[in-house]
Amino acid sequence: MDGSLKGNGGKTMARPRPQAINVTERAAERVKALLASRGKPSFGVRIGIRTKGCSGLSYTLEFADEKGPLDEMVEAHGVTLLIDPKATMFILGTEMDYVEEKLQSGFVFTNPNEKGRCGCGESFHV
Amino acid sequence: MTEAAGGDSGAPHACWSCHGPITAAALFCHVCGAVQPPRPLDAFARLGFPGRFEVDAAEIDKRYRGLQQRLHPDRFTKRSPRERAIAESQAMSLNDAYETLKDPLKRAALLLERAGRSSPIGENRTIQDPALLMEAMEVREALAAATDLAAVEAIGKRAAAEDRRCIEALGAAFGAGELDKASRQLTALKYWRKLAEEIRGRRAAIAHGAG
Amino acid sequence: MLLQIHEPGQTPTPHATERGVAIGIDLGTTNSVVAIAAGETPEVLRDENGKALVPSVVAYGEDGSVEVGEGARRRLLDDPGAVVGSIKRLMGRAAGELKHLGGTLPYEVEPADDQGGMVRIRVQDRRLSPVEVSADILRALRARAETSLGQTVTEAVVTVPAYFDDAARSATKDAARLAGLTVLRLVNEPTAAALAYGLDKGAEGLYAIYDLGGGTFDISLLRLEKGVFQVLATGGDAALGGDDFDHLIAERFLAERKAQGLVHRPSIGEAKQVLAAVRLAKECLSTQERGEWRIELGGETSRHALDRATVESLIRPLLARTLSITQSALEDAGFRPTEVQGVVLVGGSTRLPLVRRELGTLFGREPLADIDPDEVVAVGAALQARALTRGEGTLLLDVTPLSLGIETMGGIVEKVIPRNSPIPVAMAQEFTTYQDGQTGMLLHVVQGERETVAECRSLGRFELKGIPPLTAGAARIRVTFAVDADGLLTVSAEEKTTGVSAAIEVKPSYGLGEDEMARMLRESMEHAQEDMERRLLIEARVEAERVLLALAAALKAEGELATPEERAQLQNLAHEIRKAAAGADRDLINGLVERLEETGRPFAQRRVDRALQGALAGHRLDEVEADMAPDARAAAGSGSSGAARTSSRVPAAPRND
Repeated sequence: MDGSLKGNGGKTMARPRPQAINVTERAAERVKALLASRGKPSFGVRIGIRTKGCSGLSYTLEFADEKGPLDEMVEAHGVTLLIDPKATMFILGTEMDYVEEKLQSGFVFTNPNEKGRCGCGESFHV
Repeated sequence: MTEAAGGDSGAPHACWSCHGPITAAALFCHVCGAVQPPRPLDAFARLGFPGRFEVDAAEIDKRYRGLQQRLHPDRFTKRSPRERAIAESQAMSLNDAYETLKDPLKRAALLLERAGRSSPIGENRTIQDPALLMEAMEVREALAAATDLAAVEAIGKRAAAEDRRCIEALGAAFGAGELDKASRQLTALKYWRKLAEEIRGRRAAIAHGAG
Repeated sequence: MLLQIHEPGQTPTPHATERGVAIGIDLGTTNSVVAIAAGETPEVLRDENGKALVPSVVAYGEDGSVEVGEGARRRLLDDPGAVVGSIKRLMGRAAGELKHLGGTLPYEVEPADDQGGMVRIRVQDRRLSPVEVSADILRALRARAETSLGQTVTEAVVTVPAYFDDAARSATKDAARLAGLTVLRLVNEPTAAALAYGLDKGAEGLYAIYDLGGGTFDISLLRLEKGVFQVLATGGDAALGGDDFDHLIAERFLAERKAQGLVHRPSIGEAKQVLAAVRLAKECLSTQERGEWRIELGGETSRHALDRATVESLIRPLLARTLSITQSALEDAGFRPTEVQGVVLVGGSTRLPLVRRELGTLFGREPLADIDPDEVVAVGAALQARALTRGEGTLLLDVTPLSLGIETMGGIVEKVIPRNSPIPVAMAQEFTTYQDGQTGMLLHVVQGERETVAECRSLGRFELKGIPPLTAGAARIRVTFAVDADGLLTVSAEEKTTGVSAAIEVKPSYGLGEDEMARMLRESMEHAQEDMERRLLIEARVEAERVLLALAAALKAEGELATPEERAQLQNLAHEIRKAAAGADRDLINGLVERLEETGRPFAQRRVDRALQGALAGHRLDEVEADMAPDARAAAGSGSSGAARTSSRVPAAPRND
């Protein structure tokens, strides 16, 4: 289950920098599929933050054509995610998942930093 | 380009939005999810009913609502104006199909049309049936002479009974494949519907004290 | 709301717009209400006294000032010449159409400069169109919402009587535009009320909505099922409402004065005072059996005893009309009154005990008034605004209230779209020429149920040119009527026979020309400028507040990561931002916020670093490595997400051990 080091795992990293966010496999699969259907090569997907919406902040997800100089990079299940420096503090330690509901589907971040959601769920206070 | 109802649905198409391949029958592109324009289907085919006069009214409602819930422009408020316009034309087509299937008159006219017959209830058509013509004149005179609600109600009851009788007769005629008979019954039904409209006008006039 | 991946820079802003919450507005004849549905439960916005109703009354000061609501209504008595009410009755109306209102309007109405144009109102020295007056009311409602939300509002669902025709609908949409509001959807008032009951009270089944407002009557039959609100039939009278009851009572009072030998003829202003007294009397008699009122006009005082039975006998004929329309709507939908599972009351006039009694008799059940009849429409509008901006499962399927048709030879109306057709709808009919060689055709679009043009409302005349000269009756002109989900009509025509297509596509205008609309929009630019300034300032303050909160939280959690100099600088800046945010200088606030972010960057970077270190320190090495090393993970197969999930759930403030 939990991947202990096997085989070529002997190539240890000096001091692995931990990932800023966790990405579920389901989310990664979906990102992969969307990147494939985008119709042009992408560097990955960038997670940003925007300070509008009814209670202050909301995440954005956009295709990224290149890595920004200050972007935090996360590799998970074979996909590359970039985190906008402005978003890093907010998103640190969250989990990105993909959910399918009856009428809609999309990505969701579970954020232990989050204090309150507005009714719409699109915005959050930190 | 004409398309037989329900036919040709397996042929591949290109999505208007992402140009991805989709089947002609798809309501949504399975690549990009964009809603597709309505196909030229008649009411039976659009709501997925066989071309029969007898229909399950509850099932029509159910399918209509289910499709509107997915296709109505209000579902696309965040999409591009083009996609909203496509959704609107889908909703219009659905509304048209719904109104046609629900109404025995329109349903019967469509069945005759499907069988290659011109509709007996189109514009500028006069009543050809002498018996119906006589009856029509007689009832119209009675209605014009009616001065109180009770008299109007009596004519209204008769019109409602004739309405039901015509629908039953239409069902029987279509069931037996007797299209001439169906055509005659449809003319009669159209006439009784028009009269019912006049009866309502008369009743309203009396109720409002206009005599 | 679930997030989607977008192209760079294409992410739509939350709630479909970057402007936040869309509001619901019930723009009534007598009173208006504004509501929002941002959270779970919709909220009606009230003033400091808890009142939700904003009188739809506008007072125009000599100095050009505009006052809306209770204050304006109070001025009705002192300064009646400056006050306008019941403007909704004039929306989309031309002077020639006001005859049936028979002098019931207590202000001066003038015809427009162009024939058939919308009427104008003379107030103070201004000449206003009903659209402008309605825009003033909408502006006040918008301001109430913005004050309450602390953010700007630019989108709304506005309700109209189901029986409103195309002209009145267009006029309402234009009024909203003047007030700086984009109308997401015009929703019929009874449908909005049904939505409120369906979503808020979980009602399902066949419902009748009986809406008797100040100036209009509507009846709608809806089927409510699993989030779909399907209007089956609707009917009404756009010129029948509680105001008519008031006028009947006022006429009685005035007749009594005359009988008492009082000769003073009331002026327009005094007529307004009499109506105000009558309204009080009517409200009083909803709870009491009888009373006496005193009217003083021109120094002559009269006393008027009135009891509930008398009022009821006065208004009974008007009520009978509403009941007859109700029965017609039931017939249209093919239902008997007893099949209706609930009767919802909407509008202040449904408070009259007689209305409730008569409806109880007709339907065989007590009508519902769980949600305040005055507020239920705005609540429904807010819920629909939420559904439209957030893409919820709720769906409204409405119908055309009135038949739409074309005038044919002899002034006879040929219906193209029958009433109660579900919208959006497009229907076509073919017409032909009646003269040999005819190359043009005048299309006269009308709305209404009567057979002759004279008795229907004219929506506009268009000419189709370029028809190939053929013998009479040979040309085939296909006229298509399309009604969108707002109930607004577009007409197009095309000649089919020869393949030469002469097509026109027009929207009926309702007597407010494009030029005029442009002028009004220009005039409202003053407001727009203020609005824009206010909006940008609100945004700057919101941003400042966010940054201050984030800073405070960061300093509290890990203040030790900031150098003493940084700390002092940051706190100093925070103080300045707080001072600036209290003022109105947007650029100053934004500049300071930017400086704060700049100054705080090294501190933030240190926090990120430490948080990541903390994540590492808090877990077993194999977990971390499994999570981190791509090659190791690949070797371990695809089942490692369970461990990864635990290992990276980093607390916001890591342990300081």
